[in-house]
Amino acid sequence: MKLSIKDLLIFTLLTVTMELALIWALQIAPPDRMQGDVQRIFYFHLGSIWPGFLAFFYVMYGSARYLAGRDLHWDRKSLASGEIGLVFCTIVLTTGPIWAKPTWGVWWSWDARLTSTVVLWLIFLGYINLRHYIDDESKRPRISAILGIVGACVVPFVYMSTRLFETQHPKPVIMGDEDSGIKDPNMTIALVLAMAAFTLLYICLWRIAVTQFQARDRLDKLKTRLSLLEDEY
Amino acid sequence: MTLSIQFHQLTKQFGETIALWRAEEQFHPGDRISLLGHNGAGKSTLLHILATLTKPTSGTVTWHLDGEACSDVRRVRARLSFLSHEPMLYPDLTALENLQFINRLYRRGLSDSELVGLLDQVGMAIHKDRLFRTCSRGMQQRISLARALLPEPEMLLLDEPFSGLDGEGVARMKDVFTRAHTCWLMVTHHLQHGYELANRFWIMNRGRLVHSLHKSDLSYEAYLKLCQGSKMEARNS
Amino acid sequence: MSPVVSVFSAMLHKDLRRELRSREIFISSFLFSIILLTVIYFASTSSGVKYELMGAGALWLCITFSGTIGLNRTHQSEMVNNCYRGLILSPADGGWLYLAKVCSNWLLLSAMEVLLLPLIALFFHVDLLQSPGWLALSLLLGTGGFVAVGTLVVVITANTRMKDVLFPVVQLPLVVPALIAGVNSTEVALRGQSPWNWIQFLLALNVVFLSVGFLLYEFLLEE
Repeated sequence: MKLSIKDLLIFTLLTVTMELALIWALQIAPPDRMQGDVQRIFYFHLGSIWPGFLAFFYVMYGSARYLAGRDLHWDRKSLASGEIGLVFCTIVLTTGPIWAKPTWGVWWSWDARLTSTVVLWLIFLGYINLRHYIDDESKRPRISAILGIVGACVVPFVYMSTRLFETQHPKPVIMGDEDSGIKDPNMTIALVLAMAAFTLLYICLWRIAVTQFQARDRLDKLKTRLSLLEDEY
Repeated sequence: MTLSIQFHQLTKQFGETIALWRAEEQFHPGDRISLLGHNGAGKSTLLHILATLTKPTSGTVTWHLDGEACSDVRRVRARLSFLSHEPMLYPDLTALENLQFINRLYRRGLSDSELVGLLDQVGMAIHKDRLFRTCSRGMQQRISLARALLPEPEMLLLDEPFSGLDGEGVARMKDVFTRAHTCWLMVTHHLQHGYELANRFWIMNRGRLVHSLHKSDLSYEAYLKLCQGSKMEARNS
Repeated sequence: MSPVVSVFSAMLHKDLRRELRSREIFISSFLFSIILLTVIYFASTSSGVKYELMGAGALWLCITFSGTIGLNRTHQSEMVNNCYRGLILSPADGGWLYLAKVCSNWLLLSAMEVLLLPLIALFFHVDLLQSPGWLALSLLLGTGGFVAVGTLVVVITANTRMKDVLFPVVQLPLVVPALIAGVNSTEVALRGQSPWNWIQFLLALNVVFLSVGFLLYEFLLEE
């Protein structure tokens, strides 16, 4: 694989922001007054949900482009985005409980954010999983694209409904609202850096995945051509 | 009211398997074509693409309605009928109710007595109130023929239409296929019917359309040899 | 007849007649619901929850599960004899075909809810007549959202190898908003209050998903 200048640039930028984010989040930002050092995981927690959303909306965009033009590249691009989105979503779901245990005293609570993230994760999983069960390869991109669009349309409704639900019912645990902690400007800087770093990570991984899919497609095409040549003789 | 089809470099791949490779031909009004070839030669794939059921991986199909190229599949679908060994009729409805459904869906506006008349053409009028699921295989195939004729198609796409029919059923179906102004493209393994009814022949082998011949250029013996030849070739390779 | 009316009349005639004749979906999902209600009673009392408070939840659990079974069954009946291919090959417009299908599924599920309501009232001591208008509206719109997504998803998963397993797995996360809104709205209506904010939410949900389905169904009419 040949790296383009663009790839190198993104990669350098990613390394730098990731380092800075680590330094700021773990060293410079002061510990939370109530939660102490545990709160630091929050920078990475919130940092990964953002690319998760981004990934989903890209799936919707890519799927729509595929259905409009039936260009296989768009299918690969949305699939790559979906897979990486699932990874980020998983990071959110694992860092969440690690943070929740010391602050709330339980690993899990049916908080609106948690509930909606689980649903988001399940939708992602459904989208990725579906294509493994479609045997006909010529059908696969079309069917997945339709599910990708429907899934992305559901996401805002999931968030709205869980919020609406929470305003009517008392929350199980009131402590640990993430907005309460941010007072120090260094905390804001750490958060912004973490979000930027994870977004760059998403872009970087996505580019690698797309190249990988394209290489595989090219290989398949060559194989087909080879079998055709063998036919001739 | 004419319908013709032209296809160019038509290829269909299912993953790495090639079902159809760069097929090129034309279907003119008045053509009655038998599409022949061994199992897996790509006959059904070609038929499905021409019926607007699937899209080709690459290549183009152009449907000409009354001399004009038409890209709206719905207009094409209204003027084609597809008849295969799968009846495409609901088992829990009676023969007549099934036809009523198709009648509404195609907006033909036929009355019930006209629908019964259609069933009568295939010899099924007495069974009009029988549940489709309780009909025998041959009866089901006859009702499917009535279903295919309901929209008054300009072209029939047939996939093994004679399967399960008795002698009388075959005779009735042949009768329909040899009516004036009926055009069709038929996939069949019944070589005799294939020769008798058609005026053109397309012979396929391993995804390729290898021969396209007129009946005038082909005696029955040469035809048999060609069909069997394509089978032999396939067996050898 | 206009094209839209003809598609609707064809679909509704066919689906309702088929269901009235075979009653396969009705009987199986209704019996299933009764079993589910019994299980909910035992589950709630043994965990110390007052089962009288479970009315709305129980109703929606029944709608979810028997609705999923029902949608799966109706689509399977399209797959017998390859009837779905017949729909693909018809000149009818995909979007209207989708709406007609949603309409018949919605009618069937609503009919089952009408039968379930007296059972809920009986088992969970719920007063259905507190605000019947809001209750009806919550059920109609909630079911609408459920069916709008389900009708699309059932065709999506029908293209896969393990359609019976995959359909609920893919479908349930996608109907979470409709279920949350439906159950809350019903619960508020059963208490005799106005669930206006939930109804607004459900209206938006219905509009969005019916439009999404209307636009996307065309792409499912292909083999």
